[in-house]
Amino acid sequence: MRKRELWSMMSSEPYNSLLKDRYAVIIPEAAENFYTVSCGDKGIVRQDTLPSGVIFKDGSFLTIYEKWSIQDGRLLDYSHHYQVPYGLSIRYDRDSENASANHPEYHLQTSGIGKKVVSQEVCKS
Amino acid sequence: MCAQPALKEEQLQSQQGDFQGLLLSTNGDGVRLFPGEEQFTSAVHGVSDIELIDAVSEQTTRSVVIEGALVISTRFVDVKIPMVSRAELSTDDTLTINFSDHLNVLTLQIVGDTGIMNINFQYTEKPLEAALSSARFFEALATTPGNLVFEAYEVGEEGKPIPHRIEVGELPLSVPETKLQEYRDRLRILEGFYDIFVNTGVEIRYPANTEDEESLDNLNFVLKAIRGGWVPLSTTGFNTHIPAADVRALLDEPRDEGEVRRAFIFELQNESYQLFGEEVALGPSSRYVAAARLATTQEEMEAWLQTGPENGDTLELKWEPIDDAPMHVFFDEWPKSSIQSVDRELREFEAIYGISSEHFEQGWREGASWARGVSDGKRWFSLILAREELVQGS
Repeated sequence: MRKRELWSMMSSEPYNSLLKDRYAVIIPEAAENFYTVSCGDKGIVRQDTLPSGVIFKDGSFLTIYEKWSIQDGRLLDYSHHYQVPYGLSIRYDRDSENASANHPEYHLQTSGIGKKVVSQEVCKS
Repeated sequence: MCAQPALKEEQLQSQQGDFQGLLLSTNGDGVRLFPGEEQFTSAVHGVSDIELIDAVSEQTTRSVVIEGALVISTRFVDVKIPMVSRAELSTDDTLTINFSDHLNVLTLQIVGDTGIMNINFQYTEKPLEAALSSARFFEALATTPGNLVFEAYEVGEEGKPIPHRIEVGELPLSVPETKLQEYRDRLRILEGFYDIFVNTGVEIRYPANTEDEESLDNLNFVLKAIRGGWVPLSTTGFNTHIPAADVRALLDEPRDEGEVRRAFIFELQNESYQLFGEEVALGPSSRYVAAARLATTQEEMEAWLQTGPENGDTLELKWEPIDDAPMHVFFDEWPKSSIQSVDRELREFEAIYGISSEHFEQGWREGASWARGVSDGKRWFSLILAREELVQGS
């Protein structure tokens, strides 16, 4: 399960030494056909948002949301946001349900680009 | 478990007694334990003494007991708690009103028109749900702007209940910040006990012994385990048990800077913890240490071999972590998914965005821009779907 993969990576060295308090709270919710893992507080992540999720020793943090299919283990949706308090941010996510000619399925947004610039589609990983 | 093992990794079956450890952030984000009883006085504004006196004066006796509910009435919502009101007029016509729940967990007393409210708590050993309900109600009393109202029902001529609402005073109550923080810590303790109760079925009541440090440490450990499944421990050392053949192999092993070093994964069949007289079983766990050195000396190992150990005999080896490497304890079964856990998550979304999940779901399904613009809308909508699936499967 994905939660165990994340645990495995984050508890091993040298990564574990980079984490504040040496751990992170990862919340899984399992339904019948899919499960999600999330890490970090709810709400919009802004420059002044209190760190939550995977908190690094330098105070920066990463929030995670992933939705996985139980049937075939496919990653259905995701959203990852890395934030330096009062500094740069980078967010990448997939929004399959809303994909259209005017709305790309995959997004990459950084604080350098800013919200006023339309998110650009990036190559599918 | 290790993504990039730097040391030879050993997987062993083990048991709790082989480990010593403390939470890495001892009480850093853990709960503190204050005595479960307290009495103090708070100023309450807007006490409507005329209404209260009228309520008693209408009676033929000088005291009256009415069952009803105390209500925190705000712009958006009413919060109620069942209460018994006992109003008494003294010989000098001073009115005293006591509000208390059936178990006397929370008692509020107003004497005359002093504008003073005496507040009394008795959480210790009280049924958990009653204590938690009162603690949540008090937090709302002390923090929520609104009015405190006593609500009771009178049976009318056709058997229909007729509501009576008596204004008690304005909220929030005036509570010193230090007191408020202590009450919040009590509430966190009770919320923690309730999480344990919901997830394991073990009811722990607010303890009389608030000096029980071992139980408090265990409580912080258990809460981390059931809420996140991952508990990092600062360990001073741990033991492994190996037969004579493995001891000989260790003695022959080339040493890294004069030391035997290992990474360890331990599988435990069950972990259980004593919390204020109750045992909480957490089930199987894995414990992982990225780097440890052998602390048992070669001389000790050789001396043991010279005693002529028989088949089945094992030597207890002592290991110490290198560079303060923590011991990570993982509980695969925690946190558990349930309708209650999903509901709790949904309530958090509702509180943050100020709309109900039903309203959000409707907007999301219709593709409304306001709903699609919710920052973590996908996460919220997935929870709504998860709840539907869990309800169908239950």
